[in-house]
Amino acid sequence: MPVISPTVRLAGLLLLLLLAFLLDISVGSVKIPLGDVFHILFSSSSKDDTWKFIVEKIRFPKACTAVLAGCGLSVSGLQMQTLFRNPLADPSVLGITAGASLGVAMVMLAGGSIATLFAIRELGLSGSVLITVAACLGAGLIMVMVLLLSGRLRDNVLMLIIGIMIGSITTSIISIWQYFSAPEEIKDYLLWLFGSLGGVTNGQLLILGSVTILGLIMAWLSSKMLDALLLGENYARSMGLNPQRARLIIICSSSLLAGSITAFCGPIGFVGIAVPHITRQLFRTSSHRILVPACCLIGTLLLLLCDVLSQLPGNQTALPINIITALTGAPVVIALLLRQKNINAY
Amino acid sequence: MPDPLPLLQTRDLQTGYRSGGRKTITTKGPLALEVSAGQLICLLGPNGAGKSTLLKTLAGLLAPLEGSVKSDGIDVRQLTPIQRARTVSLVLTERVGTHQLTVYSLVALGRYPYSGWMGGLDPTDRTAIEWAIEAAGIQALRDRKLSTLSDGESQKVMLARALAQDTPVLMLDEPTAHLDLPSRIRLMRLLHQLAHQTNKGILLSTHELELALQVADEVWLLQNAETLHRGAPEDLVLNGAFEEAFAHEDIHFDKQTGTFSIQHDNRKPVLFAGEGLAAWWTRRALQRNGFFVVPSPAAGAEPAPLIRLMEKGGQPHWLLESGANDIREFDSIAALLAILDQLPL
Repeated sequence: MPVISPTVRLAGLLLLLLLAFLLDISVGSVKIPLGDVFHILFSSSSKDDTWKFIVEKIRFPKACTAVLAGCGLSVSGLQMQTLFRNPLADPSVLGITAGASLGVAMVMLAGGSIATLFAIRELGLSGSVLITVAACLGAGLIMVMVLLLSGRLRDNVLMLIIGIMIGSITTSIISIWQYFSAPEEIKDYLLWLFGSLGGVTNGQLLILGSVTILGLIMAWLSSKMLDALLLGENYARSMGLNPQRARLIIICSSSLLAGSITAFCGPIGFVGIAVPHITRQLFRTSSHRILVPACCLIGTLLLLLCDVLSQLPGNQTALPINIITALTGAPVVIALLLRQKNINAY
Repeated sequence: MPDPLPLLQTRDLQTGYRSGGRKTITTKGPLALEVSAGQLICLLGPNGAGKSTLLKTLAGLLAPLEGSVKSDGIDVRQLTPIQRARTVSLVLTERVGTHQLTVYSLVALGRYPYSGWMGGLDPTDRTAIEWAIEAAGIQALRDRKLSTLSDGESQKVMLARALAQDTPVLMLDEPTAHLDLPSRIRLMRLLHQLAHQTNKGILLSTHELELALQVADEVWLLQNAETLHRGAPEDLVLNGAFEEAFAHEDIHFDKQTGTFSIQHDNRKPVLFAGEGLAAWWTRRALQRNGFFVVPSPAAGAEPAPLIRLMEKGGQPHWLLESGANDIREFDSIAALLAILDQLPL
């Protein structure tokens, strides 16, 4: 493999990313040529008002959501993999995603039979704030439970198992709620489970964007702690890491990222687990100062491309994003792991 | 000349684990220990005697059940994690399995307690890293990935990381485990040199008694939960502490050579005559095979086969006389043993 400097690789990725972003806006049930997309985005004028509306109100927010979700989910997955020293860890493992789902489910339950998730989204800003808060609280609640239990254990692998158990309990609680719910509500919930980048309006984008960026900044600032944790908790402590504080910062940032994105887009799988592996392979480094931004780029690129793929059936139908991420993410992970012949590649 | 002020000092120390209000005592003590500058201390003891627990307690990673560990008069548990990391560095037994980490980045992680918020390195950090790489003798490995290293290389890299941490005290938990004999000797010699040249206090736990006897300035011998003997290795040999700690009916500690030997069940007598190096090894081989070597035919003793060591063209040869006229000649110990085993005794 020829040696390409990280700068060139980053620049190449950025270029690809820009292309994918424009492509994502261009494709859909109404095809808009790339040139026109460019025009609408940068000069805000177009020969076709419908196109302008579609780009500004629907596709641009959707592409931005893909960017935020791609960054957030992959960085969250990276943090979990390092914290638990486990190549299989991702936000859903700790029960964070399940907690966020519980929050969303509770809002829907409290709203009774009329106020389904999509109805709440129709409410606009206040509704989305409600759901974000509920999802982050749900994620946070699970996080506090895991933290309280792990304080007695001081072992990251045990914490991982506890996370999985709590996740199962949470999922069961949601199932109980589903069992006693009206079919329409279940249908909405199932649709939400498929994942969607589409439901986020410009106003909601502001909320999702600020929470995600806050989480990403926290993640990037914790790079040094994450590097130390690569050697395991005992070595990290011997080098001066405060394990309780490190865990708190990393889990806070992870639940902000995974909680907010899950609230708006549903539980999108595979990005969190696949992207960190791809990034480590491409950049051949374990340094989180590089991995965190690099995961953002690759996560974004992957999710944008997945979204483009989901539009391919054409007409009015678009495949749920979750199906595409699993279909593309899983083979990539398998291929990389086969090439590496070693599972402990965190 | 060792520093008169110890780097680490314990008072009434008792080590063990606390979990859920229950205490599990590992070493009851009370222990009064000191780690001084420029000193290499070897912590010896049978498996399960509590060596790792004692190391972790001294390093401040584990709270003592009783008593205290003080550095410069301050309890190590009261130090902030960063202050503690600037006092004691550790090399643990656990293997680090991060495959994309290069040797240089791993050693650089040793600068954790000094580097900036984001882990940025200044010239002081870089100098310390270069020194550590050179001191551990791993210049050739600096760009290799961790996953490609052998056990011996990996151990030296972890040592370099601890050296980069630039602490007065360095502790290693069984650094020679999994290493082949030459690597074990080289590592021990390196640690001995480091202690004396850099004036660090180095404490390591090991099972290498014979090596420890050769390099240690002081030995801490954990016999069981109650007893820890400390002193110069030679003193512990002479006062019988070694024998006592590893006392077992099958094992014999030879005070002459400072080695342990396996006590064989020797019931079959043989007579042996010979001198020199070949004679020494012949006796060993006979003992291993269950023979009891009688130096010279004693009057009235039971008839026993007689082995004579000869020299033929600069090579040792063995003559076996069993019975009246049965004399056979061998050119290797293996051949001798094969026939000897068939003799009715």
